[in-house]
Amino acid sequence: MNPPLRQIEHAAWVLGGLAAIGCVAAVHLVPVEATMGPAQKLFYLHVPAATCMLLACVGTFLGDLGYLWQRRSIWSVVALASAEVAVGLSAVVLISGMVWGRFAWGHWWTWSPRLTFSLVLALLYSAYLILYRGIASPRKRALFCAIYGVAAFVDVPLVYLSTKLLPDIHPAGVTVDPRMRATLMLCMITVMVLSLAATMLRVRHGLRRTQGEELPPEPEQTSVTQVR
Amino acid sequence: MNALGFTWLCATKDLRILLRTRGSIARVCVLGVMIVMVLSLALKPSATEGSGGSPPPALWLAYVVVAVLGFECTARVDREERAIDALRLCPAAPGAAYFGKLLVNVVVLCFSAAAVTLAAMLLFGLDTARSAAVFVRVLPLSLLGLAALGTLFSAGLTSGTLRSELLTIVVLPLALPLIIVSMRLLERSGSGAATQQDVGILIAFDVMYIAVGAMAYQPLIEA
Repeated sequence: MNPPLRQIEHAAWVLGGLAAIGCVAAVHLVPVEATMGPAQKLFYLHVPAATCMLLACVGTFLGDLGYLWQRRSIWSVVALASAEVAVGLSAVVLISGMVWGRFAWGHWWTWSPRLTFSLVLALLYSAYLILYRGIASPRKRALFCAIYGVAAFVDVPLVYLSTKLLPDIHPAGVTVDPRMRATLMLCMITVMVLSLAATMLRVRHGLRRTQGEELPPEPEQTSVTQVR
Repeated sequence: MNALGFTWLCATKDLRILLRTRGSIARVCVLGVMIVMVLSLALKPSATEGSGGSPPPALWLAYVVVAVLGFECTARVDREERAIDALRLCPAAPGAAYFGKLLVNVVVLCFSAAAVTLAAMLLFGLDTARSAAVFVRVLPLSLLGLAALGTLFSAGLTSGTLRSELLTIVVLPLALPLIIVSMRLLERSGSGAATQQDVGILIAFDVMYIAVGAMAYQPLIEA
C-alpha cells in the first residue's frame, strides 16, 4: 500500500484511540437521562455504530458498482473491506440495541420494522463475506459478489426509512440536551475515524492478498477470418 | 428467432427435460409435504391456523425449502453434458435466457407450493375454499419474486461458480424482505384486510428483482 496512505491509516488509529478515551470521559461526565437511567448511555455507542454501519454498506455498494464498471480488483477489495466493517458494526448495533431495549422496553427483541430490517442487513452482509470466501476463482468471485452486493443494498434504505414510513417501537428521532448532543457528536466522529481506519487496514490486507491476481483485461474479440 | 421465441423455446425445453427426468419435481414436492408434516406435529394448533382459515405464515418455511431445491433441479438441466455452452454461445438477446429460466422456476415453484398448501389444508385442517382462494390470489406474486432471485443466482450453479450449499445462503437473505411482506399479505388476505398498498409493495419487489436478474444473468452465465 502507498506509504502516505499507510501513514494516514496509522494517524487514524492514533486519533481514533485518543478520541475513544475522550468519549469514555465524556459519556461518564454527561448527565444521566431522566427516564431510562444509566442504560441510556448506550445511545452514544448505538447511534454512531448504526450510522457508520450504513455508511460502510454504501462503501460496499460503491465498490461493487466500481467493479462492475471497470472490472479492476481494487474495487472488489474496497467492497469486501467495507462489508467486513459493516458486519462488525452491525453486531455492535444489534447487541447494544438489544441491551438498551431490555431496559427501555422490557424485552431483548421485538419484530418491529427497524429491528427486523437491521437483522436482515446483518445477515445479508454476513452472506456476502461467506460468498466471497466460498468461490475460488478471483474473477468469478469478484463478479458474483459485486452483483450480490448491489442487490443486497436494497435493504439499506429499508432500514433507514422504516421508522419514518411504518409504525415502530424504535424512535424515529429524539430531542437531546446540548451536552448530550455534543457527546454524541464526539462519539460519532470517533466511531467514523475508527471505522475508516479499520476499512483502510482491511483494504491493505486485501491488496496484499490480491497482489499478482490483478484481473487481466477482457479478451479482445477476434473475427473468424483471423483464425487459421 | 426473436427474444420471445427464444424464451419460450428455452422454457419448454427445460420443462420437458424436468418432466422426463425421473423424480425431479416429485422429490421437491415430497420434501415439501414432509416439512408440513413436521410442522403440524411440532406446532401448537393455534400456530397452524392462519387468520380467517388461510394458510399460516409458518408454511413459508416449506415454501422456501422447496424453492431452493427447485432452483437446484432446474440449474442441473444445463449443467449436465455441458449444455451451458450452448446457452453461452446462442445469439439470443441477453435477457431472453433469463426469462426462459424464470418461467421454468415459476412453474416448478407454483406446482410445489400447491402440493405443500394442499398438504397443509389436510394436516392443519384449514378452510379449503378460503385457503385455495388466498393461495391463488397471493402466492403467485410472492413466488415470482423468489423465482427471480433464485433464477439469477442459480446461474452460478449452472456455470460451476457457486457450490450448491451456498445457494441458500445467497438467496435467503435477499428474499427475506419479500418473504416478510408476503407473510403480512397472506395474513391480511385471510382476514380480508389486505390493501392495494400491500400488493403494490410485493409487485415493486418483483419488478426490482426481475430487472436486476435480467441485467445480471448473462455475465454470471459467461463467468
